[in-house]
Amino acid sequence: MPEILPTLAVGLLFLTALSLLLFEDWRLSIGALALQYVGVFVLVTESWPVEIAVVKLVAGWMSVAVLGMALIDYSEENGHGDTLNLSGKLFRFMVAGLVGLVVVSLLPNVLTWFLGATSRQGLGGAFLLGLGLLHLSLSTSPIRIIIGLLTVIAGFGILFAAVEASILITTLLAIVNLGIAFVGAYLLSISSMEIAK
Amino acid sequence: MNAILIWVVFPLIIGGLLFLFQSKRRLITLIGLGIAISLASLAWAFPVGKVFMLGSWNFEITGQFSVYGRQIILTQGDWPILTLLYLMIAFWFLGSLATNVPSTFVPLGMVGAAMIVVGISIEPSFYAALVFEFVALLFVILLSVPGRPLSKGVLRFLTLQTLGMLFILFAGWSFSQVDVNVIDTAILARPLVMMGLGFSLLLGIFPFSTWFPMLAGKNDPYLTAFVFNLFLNGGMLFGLDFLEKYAWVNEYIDILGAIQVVGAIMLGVGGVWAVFQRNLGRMLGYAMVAEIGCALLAYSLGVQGLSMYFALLIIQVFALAIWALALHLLYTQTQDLDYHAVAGIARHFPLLAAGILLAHFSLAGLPLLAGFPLQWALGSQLAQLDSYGIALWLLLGRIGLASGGVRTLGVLFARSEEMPEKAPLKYLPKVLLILGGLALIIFGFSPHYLIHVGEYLSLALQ
Repeated sequence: MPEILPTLAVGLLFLTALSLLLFEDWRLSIGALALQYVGVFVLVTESWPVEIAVVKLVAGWMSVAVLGMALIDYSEENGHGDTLNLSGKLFRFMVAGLVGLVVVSLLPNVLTWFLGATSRQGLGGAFLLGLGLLHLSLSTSPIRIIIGLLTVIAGFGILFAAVEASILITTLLAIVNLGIAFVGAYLLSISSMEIAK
Repeated sequence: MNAILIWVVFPLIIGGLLFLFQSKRRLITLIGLGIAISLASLAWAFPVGKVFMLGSWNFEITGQFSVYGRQIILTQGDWPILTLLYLMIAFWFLGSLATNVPSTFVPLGMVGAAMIVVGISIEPSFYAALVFEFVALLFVILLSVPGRPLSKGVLRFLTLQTLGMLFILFAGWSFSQVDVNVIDTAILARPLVMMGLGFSLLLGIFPFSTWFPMLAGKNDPYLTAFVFNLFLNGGMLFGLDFLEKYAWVNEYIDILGAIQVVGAIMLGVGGVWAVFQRNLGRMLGYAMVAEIGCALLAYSLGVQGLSMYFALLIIQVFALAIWALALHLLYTQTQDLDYHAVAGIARHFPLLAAGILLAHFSLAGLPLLAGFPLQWALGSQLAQLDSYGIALWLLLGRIGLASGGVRTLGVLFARSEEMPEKAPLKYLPKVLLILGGLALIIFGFSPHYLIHVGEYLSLALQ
């Protein structure tokens, strides 16, 4: 794999996590989430063989597909507009920049905690963790919280992959990823379901 | 015969099958109830690892099961936990016959219980963090009833459980990397902090306890109390098991002392906030915060505290189920649990009011009710250990919760304007409330039965 790829993947992760934070249009969000898993896959291949790392990509894309299908129905009923105004976006951009600075300054600590992780894995994973947590703290709608959780898990997945290569943990984390996406889809659909008897 | 097939795979299959027949709610509840009681009886009558004779046929229930090289292990000492867990869900299933909870309750409850068994028996134990995340996902579905608005408490619950899973996973992995012979306390601090954060998130330790009142205030009280009871106590057992596995950590840090302080804080938070609540559901949430504190205090007392923890757990099952059943039935009448909506309701539904108050005051440890002898014993033991400050917190927490109960009493019996016609209670809810209320009074007069059972149950963790 070319040396430049992991570095590009870090940039891709930061941009996708940032766009998830700034834009609430569901099509943009789903696209950014799908791209995010490509970056995760590239960084995980630094520690794992491609055939195992691809589990992250497949599980991630399946989660994106599940959420996307649910969002198609949901947006038909509730619209798919971006509710954030310019000042809101500016605020989020600035806070994301601060999180980025904190991540860069804490990178040496991250690398001592996750011994064996490369600096690119450390940066990519910590970016996703930080921006995912920021996303969770700024959101109240179910879909944004689900996207925030998927981002946090993706970030943790990169860092944990550097220290633990257990197939069972990989499988279980992939199932958790899918489970969260399914629950997200369910939460989006319950408002339109028939009232339980 | 393998124990995992009986107490995990079988209930998982049954849960899945029952899910397919949701239109027959009463039937699946009865089947679930029967199976939960059978599994509890089986655990009691045929402990894992013992050889049994059936005519000329010898058989033994083995306790090991391997998945991808990891072990799920049930030992001979686990039968009390299995019996308790399946009896607990049987108790809740029985109560659900008197409610109109969704038909997913029994299937998801059955699957949740089976997963909790996996969670407390998997090796290495940090894998349980992932199992508890699955249980949390199941319970999010259970709590989100179709056609009703989604509560923020459910989302908060999901978020905190997912973050907790990540912290515990990392802490467990870090502990597994520590060389016990060459321990650097600075290095040990890292997994310890992670473990503390992880279990705080999992068990809703202050300040991560915000989802308790949020869930209880907006969701169906019966479903919420079931989740509190099963999930939090499952998580507590996982936590105790985790601490047993890494017992060597006690040599470097006073974990029991830390647990005691955290327990006192939880009691204080639960008690103080209960005083100011104006919603019966949120009151239940804060009572649960205090209950977690009480359980942590009991555990911090060592072997004797362990039997008290289990005795308190039995009281908690009874009190929570009665409280939740009464609140659920009240909610179906008033569609609101705020004080203004339930004022004077005791004049129309004295049994519901009695159920709510008996359960509330039992958990608050009012004399003559079930919680009192155990709370008294807990306070006395703390005082004997010269932990007067902690004992004072216990007292304050209990007074706070009792004050909340007195306010509820005042509201339920308040004079109110003529209320619109309400549907009378059916036969089954009345019977369950009366039997449950009687049990809370009888346990108050003869606590030795409870302590005896608690001692049996505590054997599983020794």
